[in-house]
Amino acid sequence: MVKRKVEWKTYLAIGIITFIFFLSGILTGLFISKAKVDTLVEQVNQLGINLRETETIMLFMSLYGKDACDMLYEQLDALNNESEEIRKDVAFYETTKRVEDPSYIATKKNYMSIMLMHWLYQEKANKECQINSTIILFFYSNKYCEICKDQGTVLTYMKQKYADKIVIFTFDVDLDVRMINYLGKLYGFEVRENPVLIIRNTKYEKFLSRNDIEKILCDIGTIC
Amino acid sequence: MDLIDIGYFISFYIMLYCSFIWLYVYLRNRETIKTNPVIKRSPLVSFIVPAYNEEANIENCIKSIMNVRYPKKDITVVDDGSTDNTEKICKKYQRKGLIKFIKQNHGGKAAAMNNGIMHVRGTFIASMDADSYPDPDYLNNTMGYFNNPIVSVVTPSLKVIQTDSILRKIQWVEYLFSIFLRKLFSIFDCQYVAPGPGSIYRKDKLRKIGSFATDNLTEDMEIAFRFYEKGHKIENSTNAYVYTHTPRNFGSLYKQRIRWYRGYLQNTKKYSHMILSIRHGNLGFFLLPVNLAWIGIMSFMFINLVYNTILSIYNFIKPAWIVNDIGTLINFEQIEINWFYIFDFYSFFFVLFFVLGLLTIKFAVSTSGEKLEVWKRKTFYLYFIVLYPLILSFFWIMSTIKELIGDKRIW
Repeated sequence: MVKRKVEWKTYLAIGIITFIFFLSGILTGLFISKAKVDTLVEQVNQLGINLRETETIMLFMSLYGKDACDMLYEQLDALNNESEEIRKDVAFYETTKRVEDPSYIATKKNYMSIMLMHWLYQEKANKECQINSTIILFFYSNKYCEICKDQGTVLTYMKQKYADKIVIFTFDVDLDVRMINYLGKLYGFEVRENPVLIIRNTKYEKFLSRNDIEKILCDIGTIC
Repeated sequence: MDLIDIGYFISFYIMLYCSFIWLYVYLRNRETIKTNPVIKRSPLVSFIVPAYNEEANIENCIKSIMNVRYPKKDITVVDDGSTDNTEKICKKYQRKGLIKFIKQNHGGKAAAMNNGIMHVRGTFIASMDADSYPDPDYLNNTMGYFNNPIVSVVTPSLKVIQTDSILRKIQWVEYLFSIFLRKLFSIFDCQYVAPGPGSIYRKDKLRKIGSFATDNLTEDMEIAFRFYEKGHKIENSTNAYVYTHTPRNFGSLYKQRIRWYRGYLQNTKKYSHMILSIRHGNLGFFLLPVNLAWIGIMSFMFINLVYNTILSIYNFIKPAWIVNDIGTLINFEQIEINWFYIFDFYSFFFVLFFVLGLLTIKFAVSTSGEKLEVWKRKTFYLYFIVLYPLILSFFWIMSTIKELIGDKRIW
């Protein structure tokens, strides 16, 4: 009969090797997550630099009264495209992230602040350069509002379809950004189950379908 | 990080640990893995072929056994109450004195084996399924292991005959994997199956530990468990080939695997006292607990994969449905293909498992005496990599559910 033995040394040695590989896997995962956040930080910083260029153009216009609307229009258009790219990356990062990174929250706050400034410059440019684009403000919450994702989908579609007629600014109310909170008080809303949209100073506290938005845009003369 | 992630981490650790154990066992023994001990004596080997409605295969089976190159052998076919021409074909060979023929009422394969054991003269018994055909050198590559008196069972290496359907292509690779793994289990002294087609037993030891269990779904596994538990050594030969028919379509494969896997669960329950028992060596302390963990891992990953696949399809269709424009299916939210979208937190593990998987295929193919021939057998490997984990997990989940709810066991 065989006297059976357990190969303790093998189990232990392989256990250590496995642990080293496992740890390498975790560290690589953390490194990839960090690299993604760093990329977002870099993108947001670049957006901030481009925003300052917009600021410079507007300051130049107000001081010297020169017509630099074409340049401003181009600049805002580039800014729109850039922030759309960041929005996609942010959305992808948020749906696939495995670990919380504190620097990501700070970056997203920074992104929101830039978006707020971008919105204000867009409003100002619309007035001073008679740009006829309609501004849509979209307030969402990842914590409370499930249907906000669908609203985002509709708005992305609208943006593709009416690229030169509407400009959409998206704000995350969960981030506790002072200006976003103030806008909530100013317009009298709190994002819970439903998204909030502000189109030409009118507040909509519900999910707006493609047809709803197209009707609103038609009524205010943006697309009809 | 949520419970799913923790589930993945635990699964990855166990999968890595097992992969490294078997890789280590292989690399430590790779020089000798294909060599067998030289035969010192050639005692009589009695083949027992249980047959139930095997008119299509029995003649080829008998002929292939007759072609086995070994000085002393005889053949006994036990007809387990066939209703086709099995008896007629066998009687033809019986009249020529080439085989012994026994007819019994239908009682199952184990009963037929037990009946055969009572009537054969050989010192060793080779069980052979009627739809399986041993290689001419099958005995020359196994009998040497019995030079060692503590060896009571030697298991063969099963190969798939036909590769004419997707499922048979997958099984072709799977069987090569089994050859590889069975040898590693044998080296690591934790083999727990003595396959029906081709396992060889010392008759005196077989009689001593008792007959094949007639109430077990996998009597060939039960007998191996019993041999192991009683302290017998089970060896394996990587080049004692037995060619066997495998299920062609999903229905028959499902039926076969449900029986196999339920049989495994049944035997694990029967021999549960071996689990984590140091006295029962690497099988009790390592392989049985790990196999149970594997069932959990496969179920977890399969359910997660199915859920994520459904979710992905839903998320793909949803934008078009929300905005009521089918055109958005193609160009909605187009993203660039760059590292940001390709690499994930788990990327290291996926790459590592992919590399380990390729290495294992290479080692398994070479151990089982085949050539890799990647291009020629590309569909074999592709189907195996893509479909096999899904099919295997599905069968294990169904077997576990059926065993848990106590569904009627059908052989």
